[in-house]
Amino acid sequence: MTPEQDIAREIWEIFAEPTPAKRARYEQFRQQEIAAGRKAIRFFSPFINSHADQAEQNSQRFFDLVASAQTEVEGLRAVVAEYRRLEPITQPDLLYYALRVFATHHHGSVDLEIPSILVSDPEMVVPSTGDRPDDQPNLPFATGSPTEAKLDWFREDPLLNEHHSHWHVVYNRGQPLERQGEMFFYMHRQMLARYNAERTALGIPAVKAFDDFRRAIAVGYGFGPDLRFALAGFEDRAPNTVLGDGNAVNAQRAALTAIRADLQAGQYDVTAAVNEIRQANQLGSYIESNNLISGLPAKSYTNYHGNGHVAIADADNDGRQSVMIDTATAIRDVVFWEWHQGVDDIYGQWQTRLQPYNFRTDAPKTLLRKSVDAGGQPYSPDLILCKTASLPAGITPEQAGTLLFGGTNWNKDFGKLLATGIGPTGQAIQCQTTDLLNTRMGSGTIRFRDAGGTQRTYTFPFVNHDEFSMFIRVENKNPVKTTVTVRVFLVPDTQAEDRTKWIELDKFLADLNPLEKKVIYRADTASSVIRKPAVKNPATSSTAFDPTNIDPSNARCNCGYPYHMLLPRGTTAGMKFRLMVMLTNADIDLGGQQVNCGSLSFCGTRNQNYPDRRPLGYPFNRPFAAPTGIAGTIAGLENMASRVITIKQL
Amino acid sequence: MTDLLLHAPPQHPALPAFRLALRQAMTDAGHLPAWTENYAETPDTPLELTANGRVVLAIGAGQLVPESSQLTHLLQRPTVPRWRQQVSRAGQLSVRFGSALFIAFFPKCPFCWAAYMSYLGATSVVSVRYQPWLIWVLVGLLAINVGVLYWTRHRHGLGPFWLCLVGATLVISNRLWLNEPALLGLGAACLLTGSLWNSLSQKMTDSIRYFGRIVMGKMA
Repeated sequence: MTPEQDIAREIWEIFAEPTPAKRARYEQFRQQEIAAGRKAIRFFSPFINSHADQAEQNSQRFFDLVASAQTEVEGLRAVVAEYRRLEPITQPDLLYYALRVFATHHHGSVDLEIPSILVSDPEMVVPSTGDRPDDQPNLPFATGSPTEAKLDWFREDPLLNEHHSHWHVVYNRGQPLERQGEMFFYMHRQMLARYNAERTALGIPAVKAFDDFRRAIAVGYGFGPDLRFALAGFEDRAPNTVLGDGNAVNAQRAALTAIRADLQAGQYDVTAAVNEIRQANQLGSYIESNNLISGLPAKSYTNYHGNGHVAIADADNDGRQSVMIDTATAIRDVVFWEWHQGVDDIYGQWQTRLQPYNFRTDAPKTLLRKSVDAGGQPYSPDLILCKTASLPAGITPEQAGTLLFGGTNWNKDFGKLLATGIGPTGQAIQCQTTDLLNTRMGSGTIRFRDAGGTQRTYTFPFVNHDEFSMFIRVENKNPVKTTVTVRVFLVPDTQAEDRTKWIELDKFLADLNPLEKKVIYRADTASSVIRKPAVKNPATSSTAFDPTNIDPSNARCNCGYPYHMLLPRGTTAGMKFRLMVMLTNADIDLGGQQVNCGSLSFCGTRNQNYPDRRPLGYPFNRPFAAPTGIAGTIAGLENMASRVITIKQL
Repeated sequence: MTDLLLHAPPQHPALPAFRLALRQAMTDAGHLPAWTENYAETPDTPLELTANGRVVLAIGAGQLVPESSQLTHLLQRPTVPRWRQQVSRAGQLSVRFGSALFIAFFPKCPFCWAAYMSYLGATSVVSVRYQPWLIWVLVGLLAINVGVLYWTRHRHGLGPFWLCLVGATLVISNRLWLNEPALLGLGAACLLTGSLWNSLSQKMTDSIRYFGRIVMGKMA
């Protein structure tokens, strides 16, 4: 093993060390400190600004050590030594957070791989339902609502929790990235859109905002023994809990009133001097909050979001918190989604003040053909889906797409037919096109030793899907070479007119030659929303240190939505979704380099500006013109097309 | 293939049935069902089907949607003679390509302006005989032109530079010694081509090369 790999392994192993025992040791230290009259934090939460600032100081110390060392490896060894020095006297979750921020944003040639949450903090992602091989009873964590418990598998998915936690490390308070405030709104909106799609599939109404802090929180939340120990000293929240801290309730209510007043007064309106990205970014940065607002006037609603987490976490105001306090556990709680719906409503309220786009002004001269299907639903013969397993062997998917769907087959409608053609060496090739994507539930195992050394084993459920590939037929009507941004979205068919419900599936560039009729190929594993490489089995990814697997941008590649949750689960009977593709002019869009690593959509490009100059969520970031609506807009533009597909859970 | 545009208010009662009939009609006529929709803002606007820019059908409120077989008949009827369609398409393409070329050749930077100006200066000055010192202005202009092309060789390589160097040599030697109108024309053509070539964007030269390959491929 090279010195670089050796130090990377050492840092990996720090993350892999069991945390419960560290928390127990730290608690003893904390008691001593308190007995000696000194202060020491009991737990760590990045939602509390003083905690986040303390973590930022530590991560900055790590960066400084590397910067001042003669070689990178020496610097990293100094970081490990500093970590070990701080370990006995620092809250372990705070120190981990600081090291994680450092490892994620480290710019050197040594890539620092971070293990899966199933290795680093398995006790924090134990499932509340499902098989328990160790004969322990199942624990209904979400209490007071059997309906909400139907979505435990979604809220408790280990890699979804890891995604949320890791996103808050990439976009942290102390070292905010360009457009962080806007991204804060957008990434959480996308999580909500996916959660709501699952609710729709189960016939559960969309999430209702929790933004009145006087209201009781209907659904409670309990802990299992492992999770309780992970968050030492934490407590359950009973159903119908009313927030007990009057000051926090009043502060949050006053903050929301102030936000609404500022919006109403046009404080964040777009002007000739200030564009919508800057305004969304500023509003989001105040609400999240992050240090992009340093130097700006103080607002009464600074950290409205973080304060909400803290207030809800200690609902009964006894100084003990629930899962809402930690980014790695918060999304397990039903109220997390309700709280974020409240935050998203602010984003939505701001967006309603924007004028609808005139998409014709800057549309590239490209054609996606469209009509209706046999049921009268929107349809495009140019949006073709294939199961990846059915792609012909021996040639590249790009070649297969051109041979099967281009050339003399350009004007053929495949729908869900078997596409046949002749390969480059004369062999017959074929691909089964489809309008049906399948999902299925799988299961994985979490194994770890608790603080007492007892082996714990849990089985967790997760959704997965059959791999699929998309072929998009585009005619470039421009007599010059054109580069387009291909934007792909999905929405439950019944909610197609609600722009907040559209789920981003992909975003990538495609080059079109002058007047070319091109078949663009795109695999689901390349999607811009997922972390890279695509994790097809969440139970086995990143569970062992593997230096051969490291690439220079790997840490940032960890940022992104889990691949196995790329598609909503759908229903066993088959649920209708609308798939939409929009082509935009890359000459206008492109603001930086796009690399095929990590989630471009949710994380941008490592150490560079966000590569898409359009507002996040474009074109669904503004209201659509009435009465045309979304469907009418798509039908009327040559650079947009949609079709109805079915997602069926097997 | 006919370009179809469906124009109607989004709530027009006949719209869903008409879409299905149109889809069926296009399939029966052997076309790929595809059209663009454009929604009218006033609710009492009739539903209109436009083929290649000409309205071929209008359905008012209360009128029945035609059968798909009637629409098939409508779609099979050539709305415009085929030769006119081809001429029109060629014309449209020429206008689009021509305008793209104009924009591409339009001088967009100081280098392009310098190249154009030196070209214009060179071709004019050679004909002025009563101011002999102007020839040295011409030499200076051409030197600037050729120098600029060498300086900006990262854009299109040394092709434009060599072309203009040959052109400049021809123009100057013609003025000083040869006095051959044909050589002057050739030199001026070399200067013009080199200057135009240099002013093109990379994207445009790619496009021209692409068209060239298509044309050469078809000729072969």
